[in-house]
Amino acid sequence: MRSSRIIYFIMFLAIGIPIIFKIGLPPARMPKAEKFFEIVNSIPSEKGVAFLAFDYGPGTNAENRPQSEVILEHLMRRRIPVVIFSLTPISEPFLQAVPEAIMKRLNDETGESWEYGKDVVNVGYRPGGGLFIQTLAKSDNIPEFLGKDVKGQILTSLPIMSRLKTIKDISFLGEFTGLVGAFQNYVQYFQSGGYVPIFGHGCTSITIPEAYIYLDSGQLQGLLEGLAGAAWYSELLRRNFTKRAADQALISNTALGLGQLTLLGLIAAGNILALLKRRRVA
Amino acid sequence: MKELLIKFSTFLAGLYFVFEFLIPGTWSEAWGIDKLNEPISNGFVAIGSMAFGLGIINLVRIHGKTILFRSNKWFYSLALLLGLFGMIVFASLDWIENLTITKTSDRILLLKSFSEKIITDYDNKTPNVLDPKSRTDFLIKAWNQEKNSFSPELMDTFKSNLSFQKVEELIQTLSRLDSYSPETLRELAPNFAEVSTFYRSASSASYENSMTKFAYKLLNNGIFVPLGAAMFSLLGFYIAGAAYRAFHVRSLEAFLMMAAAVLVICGQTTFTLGIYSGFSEIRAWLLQVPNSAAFRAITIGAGVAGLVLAFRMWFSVESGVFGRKK
Repeated sequence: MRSSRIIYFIMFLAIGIPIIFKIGLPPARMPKAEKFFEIVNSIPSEKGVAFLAFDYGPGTNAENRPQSEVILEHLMRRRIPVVIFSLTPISEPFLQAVPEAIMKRLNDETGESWEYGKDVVNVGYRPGGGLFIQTLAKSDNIPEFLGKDVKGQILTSLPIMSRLKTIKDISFLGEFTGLVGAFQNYVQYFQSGGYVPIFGHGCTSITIPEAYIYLDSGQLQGLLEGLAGAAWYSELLRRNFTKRAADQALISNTALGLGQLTLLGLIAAGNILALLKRRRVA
Repeated sequence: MKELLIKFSTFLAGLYFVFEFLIPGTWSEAWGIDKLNEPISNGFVAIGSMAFGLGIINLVRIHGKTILFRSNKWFYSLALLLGLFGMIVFASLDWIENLTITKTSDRILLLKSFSEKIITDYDNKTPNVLDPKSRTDFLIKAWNQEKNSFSPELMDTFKSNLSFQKVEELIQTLSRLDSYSPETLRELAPNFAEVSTFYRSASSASYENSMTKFAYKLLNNGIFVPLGAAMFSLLGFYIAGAAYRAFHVRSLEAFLMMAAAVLVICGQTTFTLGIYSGFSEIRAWLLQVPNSAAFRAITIGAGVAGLVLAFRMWFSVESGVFGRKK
């Protein structure tokens, strides 16, 4: 019982200190995030829209939210209009809060304006899972199929929708989740008539191994590996847009790194103590 | 008979998806199968929504009974039902309020279209429509009705808005005129659009400070999100405890597993990469080569098993109708 408390306290210190004192060390270089950055950088901004699926809830918020923030920010900086939606009902708070936070940050930093309805639109939670994706991909009029946004505004009346008719107008699809099943819906069904948009995925650390098989097969073009991927992407944004301030991803990543090192230390300590015990018994 | 009917319906429903997915797109288009996708999708959403209703009824029955009979730990059931209904009430109020703002804003925007339509109908001499002066009177009436529905606080905000002032001025001009004035209508139309946008942002800003929004945010962002995150975060502490106690190298397999885990962690942590930068390449190789091979095998195996299960369900051999056969 006592050793449990000591372990929990050590873990609390390892994770808590960087968060409380806002210590953000430079993140580790993540080659997959770098490739993702180049992909987003090469999406044509003159036509089409990007679709972002925030399929995460409070449980994986710590990893998926920084990922969705950096990708949305990059797309908005490039003036690529973004349609945000989710297949998960518990994502509702993030569907609203993330674009608001990014628009505010960009408006404050650049003095330019990013507007709801023109640069970004939130079409909210969509039930039906794979079936919804299938129907969306096959629709010959996506704004009409989606109907209204989360505020009840008719989508066809919003300026952003003038660039969207069918799946062929979706130049990029980004999906952020810790649920492998939700991710596979897009791999299987987000395509029509041989057209598949450029697909980028943000996964949690636990689901990285599964995501790699789709990256390897070419079904996935960009991958953000957990919080570490988001932190490196954030660093790339900072290097490309020099006025950009450091964000929470770097601090959280520092806490995660310390937490992981502590875990390694605990494994080593556990093994050494077990070895000593075995020798004593022998 | 009932069983046969259900088996037949299940088979038919499955048949659609088999056809839809396997036959070439040109055939599907020619036979009209692709047109069925949207209504079928909506049907599934409707069935899914019924499951939500059933879930609520079930929760109320089970936990309501616990509360009524003061059974063991009844207060947990009370907390659950209070949370459920509190969230339903405030989420519905939030939805209604947003919908009201959108509808009013859309109605103001409609006045813009109406102003433009009066002009085009008159210019094109469209038959079977009222004379432009009468239609202008209806426009004035509709605007006054909308304006009268604004709250006093909103009216105060509007007073400083130039487009609103312009609309008021032009409406008064139109009221005074005895004849149709296309110039005034032409000037009025874009101002309605501006007022609609301003109404939306002013009403939304005012609603953000309301008690309903406060309660909704408190339940959602103040309780639901932190509790959900806290539940998941506890895992970190349990894993730390388990790592210390249980992750002991007692065999070659355990050693390989631990070595892989250590190398992957070292490959994505700033501190370890500072010691040796090659960890990054080792991590990438581990994930791309042995991991991908193993996971692909697992995924293919699971896929084949899923297909077999799907066939069993499609032909209703997995279990009896409404559950396992007695």
